[in-house]
Amino acid sequence: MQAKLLPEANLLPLLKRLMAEAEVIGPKRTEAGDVVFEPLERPEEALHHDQYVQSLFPLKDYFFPQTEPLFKVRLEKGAAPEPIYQERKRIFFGIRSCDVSGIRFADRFFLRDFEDIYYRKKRDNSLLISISCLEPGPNCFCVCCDGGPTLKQGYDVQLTPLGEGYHVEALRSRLEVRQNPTVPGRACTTSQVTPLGEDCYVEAGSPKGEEFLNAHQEFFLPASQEDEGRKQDGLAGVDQKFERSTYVAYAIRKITRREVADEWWEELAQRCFGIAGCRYVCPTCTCFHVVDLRDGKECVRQRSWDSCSFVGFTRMVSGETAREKPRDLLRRWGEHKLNFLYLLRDGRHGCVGCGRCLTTCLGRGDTWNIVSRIRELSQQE
Amino acid sequence: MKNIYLPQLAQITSVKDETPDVKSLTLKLKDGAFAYKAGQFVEVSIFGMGECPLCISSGVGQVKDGIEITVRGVGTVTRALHELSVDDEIGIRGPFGNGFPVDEVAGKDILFVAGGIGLPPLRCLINTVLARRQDFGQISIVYGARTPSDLVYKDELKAWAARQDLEFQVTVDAKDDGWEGNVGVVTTLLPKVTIAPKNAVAFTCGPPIMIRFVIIDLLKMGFASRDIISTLERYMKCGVGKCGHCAIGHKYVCLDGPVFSYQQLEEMGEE
Amino acid sequence: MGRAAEGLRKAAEDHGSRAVGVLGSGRCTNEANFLAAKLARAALGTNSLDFSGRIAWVAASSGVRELADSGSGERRLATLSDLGEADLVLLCDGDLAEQACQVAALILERVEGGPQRRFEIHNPKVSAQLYSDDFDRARLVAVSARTTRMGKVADISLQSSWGKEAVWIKGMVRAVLEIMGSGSEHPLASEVETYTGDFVKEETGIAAESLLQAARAFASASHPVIVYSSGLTRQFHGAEAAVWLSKLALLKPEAKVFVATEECNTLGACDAGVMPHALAGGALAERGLAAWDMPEKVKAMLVVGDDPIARLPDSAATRRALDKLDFLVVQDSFLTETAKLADVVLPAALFAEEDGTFTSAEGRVQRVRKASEPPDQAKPHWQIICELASAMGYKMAYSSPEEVMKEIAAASPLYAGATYDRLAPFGTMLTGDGSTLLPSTGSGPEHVEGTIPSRPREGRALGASSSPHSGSGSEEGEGRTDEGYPFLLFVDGSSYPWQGNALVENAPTLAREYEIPMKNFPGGFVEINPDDLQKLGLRRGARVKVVSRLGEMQLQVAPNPQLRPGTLLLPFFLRERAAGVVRLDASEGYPAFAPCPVRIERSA
Repeated sequence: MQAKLLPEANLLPLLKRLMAEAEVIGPKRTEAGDVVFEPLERPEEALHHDQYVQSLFPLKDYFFPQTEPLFKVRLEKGAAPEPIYQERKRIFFGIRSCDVSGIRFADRFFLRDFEDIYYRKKRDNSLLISISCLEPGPNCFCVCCDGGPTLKQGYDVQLTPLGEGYHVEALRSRLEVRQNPTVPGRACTTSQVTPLGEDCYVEAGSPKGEEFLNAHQEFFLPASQEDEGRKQDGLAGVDQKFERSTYVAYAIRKITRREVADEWWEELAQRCFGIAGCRYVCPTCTCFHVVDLRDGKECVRQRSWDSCSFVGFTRMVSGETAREKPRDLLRRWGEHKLNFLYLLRDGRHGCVGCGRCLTTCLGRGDTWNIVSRIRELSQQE
Repeated sequence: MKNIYLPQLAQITSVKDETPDVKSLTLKLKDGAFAYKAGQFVEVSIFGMGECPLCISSGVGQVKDGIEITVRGVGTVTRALHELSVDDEIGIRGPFGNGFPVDEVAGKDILFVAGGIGLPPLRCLINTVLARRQDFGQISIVYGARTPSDLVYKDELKAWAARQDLEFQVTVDAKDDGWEGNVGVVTTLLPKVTIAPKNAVAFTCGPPIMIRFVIIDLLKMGFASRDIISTLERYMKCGVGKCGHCAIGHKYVCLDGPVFSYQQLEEMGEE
Repeated sequence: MGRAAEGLRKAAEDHGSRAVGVLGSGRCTNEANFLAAKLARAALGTNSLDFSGRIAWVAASSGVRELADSGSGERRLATLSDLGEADLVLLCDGDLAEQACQVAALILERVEGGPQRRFEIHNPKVSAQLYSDDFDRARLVAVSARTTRMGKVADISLQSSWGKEAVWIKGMVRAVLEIMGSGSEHPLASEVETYTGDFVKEETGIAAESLLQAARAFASASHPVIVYSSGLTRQFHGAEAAVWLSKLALLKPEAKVFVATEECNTLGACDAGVMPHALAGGALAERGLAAWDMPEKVKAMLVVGDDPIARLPDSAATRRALDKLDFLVVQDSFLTETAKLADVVLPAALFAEEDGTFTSAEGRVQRVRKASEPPDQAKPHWQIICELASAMGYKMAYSSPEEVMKEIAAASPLYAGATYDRLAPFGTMLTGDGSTLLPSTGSGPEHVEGTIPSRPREGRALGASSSPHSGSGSEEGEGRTDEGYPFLLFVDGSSYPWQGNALVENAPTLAREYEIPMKNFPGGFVEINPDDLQKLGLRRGARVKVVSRLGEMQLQVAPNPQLRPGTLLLPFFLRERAAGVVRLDASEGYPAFAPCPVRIERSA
């Protein structure tokens, strides 16, 4: 499908129209200054793409909630369990390439082999409109993970801002904003960033995306050759701006070949505090725990996020635990995220480079630190 | 769109005490019998308590409209199962897992080595094989338990011992007053097995420590590692390769297993 | 509500207002604590007002007072910003990565650098330098009774015997004095004379050379920061240790001390006057009963968000005493062990379901903002207290927590100007004159910016209360091992810190983790060094009798390589087993388990 142009002036009207069709999840700033992806109540609430890089939490909660009831059943003879589904129509606007990559990874995981109906219903009812990043955040390394800053495939609708017509001051303040998008100490208010007269280059990457563009034609203009040139110019040099480039492909090789020594995992595990926060904010972490919750005569079976870094994750009733030591737990993580054999199974390796684990980790147990350290230790040999 | 997490109801049609802590339950499935392979398992629900994976212990076609499971009461769910009686209802999901290779070993000699509560999955396979006895070569069954009262399927053991078309040996670690048979761990019976490893496959199930020693002896006997087949036990929740608990290496015990050859286990490494 | 009010009122009527006790909580907001104090003193007329978590602060407050009384004129309590400028961190602790992981993260950052950029919030001035290529790292000296994660990343790691912290600290003071050339003229010299390297080695197990190394590092540092938490303060002789750490800090003009409090609002609860001996703002009051004395000596209690059974050392006695009360009212979000014994339980909202403030270990007042609605009938603590007071005939009504804070600010000079509009997103450190600046330890109008006044925050001062459980007091040689009792048993809370935490117990995935220790050892367990286990010829999980000079308990043995040979660790959450076996010492004003010589015998 031919690429389109979304003139800046059409953005708010488009959001307004979308909000009448479905729940629009967009980027907002909380009172404390954090960026979150939440339902928009007014189109103006959506942050301008310049005012944020990413949210602290990935979008996975919308498709794979932190706690999710699977079914309820009355505790009496003959009562069959009744599934509980959520099928709300949602349009995700302003999400980033790393999150789209993460969602696509989760798609493949939940829908392969036995299809997960709960995930399926939510995904079928959702549309992803993402925005390419022209400036990376301080902890981003999607460029090493084939997760961004822009995508060649896997998206529904991808917008790329065409950066032209800026004031120099506006550009400088935009860079200031980039420094710490999630730290409220830096006042990231609209007063500091001049709203820019910016159009977006629009591409559809899936049948859903094409359908969307067709259904909302009046908001878009056909993109010209010149527009495509402006897009390439905007994206040129973004890769060089990543402070956190690291050796992900190298780590994949080392891990797949089992060339990461026990002592290295031991050293790495020493600096992991066992908090599992990284797992909760990781877009590609999908493990869950299941419990039956009883309330009188009714029972709800619920699943909730779990983490392979917990000792009880593999503990059997007999007490036998497949992985108990911090070193083994961390090695397991490396195996699942970065082993090539998993890549064959899941379509891509398990890290999109969003850097959330790095932001969250209180120790040095995040992907970036581990991958970098594996490289360092290998070079020391 | 099928909901893989939604159990169907099953009614208990019989309960049998196998040993002081093991019971066999036959279940009638509300949605009718399903096709399954020996070695597959089901997820058994006691609503309000939880779910646990149990292997199907009845041979294919043995139980009308249903299956049999043999359960040792060790955890919350299994102990609750032991409290149930005929006509009570539970939930069943499945069958899951890859099952034992049966057609693939047609024509070969087969050695079954089981220990304690490891007999149920093998019994399913044994009965499936015996139902088409002519398709296989020599058959040898070796079974061991801690004490005579811990032997499972006592009637079936007698039936196997009586058959002329297979070799059957049984032993206990410690005997009681009535026991006149072999005494010693199950590996002590292996030297007496008459099957030659050349055209044979060995299936073994039991406590992890027993399996370890059995495999060592089987290798010494000359079995190739790809011809030694076992089941792997892991903590499981979903049974369908999503929750992540049973993952080992890049495989999932509930999807790619629980049946694995020793060669595959070696390749998976220690993760 | 009516029943609760009636029950408390009746108890006060029948037995006098002194017969009613109130417990606030270091896990409740400033507003809730302030109103709890108001209800106690004004509505009920009792001074028996405290919170269980204060037991972990009493020792620290001795250390704080030592700094304040020094009259040195400089600010000696460290902020997290100071940690960013430290060139040496002396960490004395149980296991900081378990107990105060945020502080451990900052220390790790200071010592190893990295991309995490946590100091940008705390000290933007140094953060640029901290994360540049020529990063000037701090050195870490870590001292603990166990080998810990921080110990593994430290430059100098020392393993000291539990309950003997004061010994090595005095030894370090002695060594530092010598290195600095102060010699015998220094006022402390005579007190530390006998704490030679050999003496310290004998008492604590720390090698003389290692102690000297640590002393040299400290002496040569220009901005050392000493960090400790409840791993130290709950210990036997924790107050002495805290005081001597302060003395050590005072040897160097730029040295500072940071105490990582056990509960998030320990300081706030103190400042709100939830203490038996001081009002909000620090003015002294007629002494009431401390949390650990209260249950046995009152007839009725109101517990606001606290769980004394889970937090106090003598949980068995606490449980019995609470059960015997005429009337017990508990406000909480979960049915804790304490709440299970209540006559009336008032359901309370969780921290994320209400607005309020709390005062961090740094002395920073921060907002907590409502993120979701409380379920069913649950209400914020402050609201419940208002309704309870009103039902008892004492009118108490506020339209919002903000209004409560205005009153706190009026009552407590330290919080003057702490209104919500003035609190920045990451909180603000406040002083008495309403100006905003980096913290002081002072209060009152005589406070001068940046200095410590002669009267420190009295509210946090050490009170000497005696515990009825203290037994006959320590005897000569009591803590000595011998052939009959070759092991030293310690009760420690720094490992398994989440046991007894209602949030963890009720979260499906975390509950699974929380149950593992008891599933592995259903008989309860005592931890032992694996080599010792082998020498005893015992296997993991073997049932044994642990016998002291006072009594015996039956437990299973669990190997723990973190422990030094010759020591045994009984986790705090299993301390009920130790009743009658391990002595509770209260010589420093708070009950602490004394190190206990024991032997191990096989069980039948």
